Amino acid sequence: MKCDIKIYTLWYAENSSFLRYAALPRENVCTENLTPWKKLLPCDTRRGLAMLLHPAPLYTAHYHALSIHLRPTCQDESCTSSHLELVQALSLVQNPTVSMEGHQDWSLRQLFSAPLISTCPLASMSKVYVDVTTNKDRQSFILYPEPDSIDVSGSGDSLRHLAVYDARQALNNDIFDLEAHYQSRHVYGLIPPPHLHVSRFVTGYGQEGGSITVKLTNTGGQPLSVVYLEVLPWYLRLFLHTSHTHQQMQSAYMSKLVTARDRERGWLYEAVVEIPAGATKELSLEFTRALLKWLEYPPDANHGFYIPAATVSVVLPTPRNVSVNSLDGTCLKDKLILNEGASFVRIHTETLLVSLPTPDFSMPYNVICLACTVVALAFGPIHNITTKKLVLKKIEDKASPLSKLLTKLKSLLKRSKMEEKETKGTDNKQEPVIVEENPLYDDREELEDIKEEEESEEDKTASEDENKKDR
Amino acid sequence: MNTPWAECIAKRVELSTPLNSWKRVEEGVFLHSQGIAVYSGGVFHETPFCLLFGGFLIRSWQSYLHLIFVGCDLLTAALLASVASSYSRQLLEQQKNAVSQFASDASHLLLTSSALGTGVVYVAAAYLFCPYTIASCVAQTTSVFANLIIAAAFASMVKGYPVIFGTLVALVAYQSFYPVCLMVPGILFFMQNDSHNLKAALLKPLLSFLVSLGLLMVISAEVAGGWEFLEATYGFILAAPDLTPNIGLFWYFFTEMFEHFRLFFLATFQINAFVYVLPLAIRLRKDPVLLATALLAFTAVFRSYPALGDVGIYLSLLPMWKHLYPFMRQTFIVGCMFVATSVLGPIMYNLWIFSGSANANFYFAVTLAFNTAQVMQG
Repeated sequence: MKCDIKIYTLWYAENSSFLRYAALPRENVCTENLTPWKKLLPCDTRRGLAMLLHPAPLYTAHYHALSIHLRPTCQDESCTSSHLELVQALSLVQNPTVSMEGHQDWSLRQLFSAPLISTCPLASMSKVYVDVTTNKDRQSFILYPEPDSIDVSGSGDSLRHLAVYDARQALNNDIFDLEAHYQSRHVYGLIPPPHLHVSRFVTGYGQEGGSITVKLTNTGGQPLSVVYLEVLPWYLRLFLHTSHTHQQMQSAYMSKLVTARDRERGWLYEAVVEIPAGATKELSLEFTRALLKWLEYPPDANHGFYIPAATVSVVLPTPRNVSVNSLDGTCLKDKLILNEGASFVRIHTETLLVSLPTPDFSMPYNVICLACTVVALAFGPIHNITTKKLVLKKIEDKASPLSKLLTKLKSLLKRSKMEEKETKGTDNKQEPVIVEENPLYDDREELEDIKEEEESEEDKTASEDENKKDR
Repeated sequence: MNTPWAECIAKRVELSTPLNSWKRVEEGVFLHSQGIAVYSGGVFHETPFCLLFGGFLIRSWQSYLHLIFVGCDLLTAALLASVASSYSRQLLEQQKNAVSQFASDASHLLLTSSALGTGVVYVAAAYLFCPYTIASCVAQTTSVFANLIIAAAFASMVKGYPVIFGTLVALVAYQSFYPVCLMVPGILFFMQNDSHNLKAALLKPLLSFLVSLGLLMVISAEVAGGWEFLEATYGFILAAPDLTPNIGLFWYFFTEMFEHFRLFFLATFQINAFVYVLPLAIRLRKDPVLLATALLAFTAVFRSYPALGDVGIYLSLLPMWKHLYPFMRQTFIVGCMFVATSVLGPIMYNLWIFSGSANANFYFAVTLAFNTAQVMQG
């Protein structure tokens, strides 16, 4: 492996249209994630350091993270052709203090339930590093076997002592089990807090709205300028005007905002926040929750939706509490050496679980039927009103209804022409009668009285109006 | 409006839909002031004119905002009252001409001149004291402005100003799309009043409508910097992609809809809002004001994002036909349904969204009942 390769990222860095960002908010912990990751290694897990990676100790650890990093690099000094660099990393946090009755003693066999028995023949280098910066003069613990060498780099905050083991030499046809023996029981002391820490959470109650609140705390002695990047799905509809008033915008600057479109694209929100020394800044994004179509919900809809982590990018003044700040390095050897001065750090916040209002998934047919019924309830009467005609009929005429009339007509039609004429005559009589001809409505005088009254009243009002105008 | 309740009321889904909530106007104005393309996103669906107007209000009148909403409501009530007085005077005249044709036992159904004054008072009171309009005014929804323009359009129709009528209908159709069907009763009205010059009566409102709509569109494109706003406003109204609960029929229906039927039912439901225009226009051609009110009622029920503000305005117009109340069927049942659903709606919504002890069906049932009540009353 060549460790002196130049990074070939300028071309990508200059053109931001090549930049893509995606986040998977949640993945179930499962050995199925480990297996494809292991297959990318040159010797799989059949040989080499990867033989240590047994699923059981890995997944019972307090914290574990699998990662692969890909980036384009130059193949040689002249940089005529590029190639992709793949870095695989696995981080584990275990707590041997509990199992060792207060002692922090650890060994490879204990951490990975197996010692190292072989190295990968394809690997050009196979080394184990132990950070012994806190173990000055071997006061607190003793490593067994003794390290091949101890690399010392940096000073002050960037000081680092690394015990180096070459696995190939250490093996030497034998098993290699690295052990650390502590002199005394572990006493938990004050741990210096990191320069910047971020916590993100959802506020509000109910499934109508809410707010994503981010607390950024600067514990250092110098003000920090932090870039906060949030990518949210469209079904959280952000309302920024409530949290971005003039007052709040004095210490924060919204550098980028891409508004979401329903079912097309999500939100992209980027803000630059100034945090004074030793202060906490709060950023909040108010949102309302959308009701989705019933087929857009995941299988367990009431569990909620995972919202991807936001990223916080910052340049810290000192490399305190920073594990890696040399981003150009390719090999672990280079990365473990801390650079002096400003160091770039990117922090990922917690993922969030947001529950959206859910419809009832069991009754689409009922809903469709009932809603259509209401529409039909409107359509029916209107069809009735618009197609039927109101017709007045003689009240005293107790003649048979139309059907009887028709049968009469039919029977009459069978008779001679003379009789047909007669039927026509009767037909005319049965025609609807207009109101005017209705004999019942002959008391007109009353109506005329009403008419006169109204007219006189109108005259009165008219004259009053005129009087008013005159005045 | 200054009480802490105002915020609660403004959040009510019955009053504030994605189309008319003031919060979204504020958000749009904020985004616009930040130089972000408002219409490329999914939050703001008001027209560019509303964006300008809202921006102006927020910048210059922020502290008097509630007074402006109240003022608009008062103005609407005054306009509706003037509509009621002119219209009932016309009705009375018609009745006088035709009085010889009426039956004597129909006299209690006739309009009396004493009812003229009370009718006006009833209409104004119905608008001003209707809980729906009060609530939507407190919630500061843009329905208040839409109602004002509708009332002004009614007034210009009844008083016989065809050009102003066309412009106002263009404005309100531009704002909320569905009132475009008010053109039909308007043209009918002018044609009946001006029977010797039918062509002018037809062309005047139509031309003024088209010209003002065209002007509004061009100005909007100028303000929004492109035609993208069409998709964000009218596309949003027609395609109904936002399924936030409201009092309408659309939200739950299209939440539960099967994907391959969606387009078909969307088209059916949107056509449903307009399909009643023609038959009702033929049936009620003699009374265009009643036709206009009926159309207003139907679009209030069948629009994609209905709010209680839309219901309020047509309810307040109904006292104009107070003398015909004996003919109304199921008045008691409908009244009870209105009261019950108005009370149960927020309760069911709270149970679903906040308590988690009910599900969406409860609220849906209430909205169904509310719409049934509206339909039955129509």
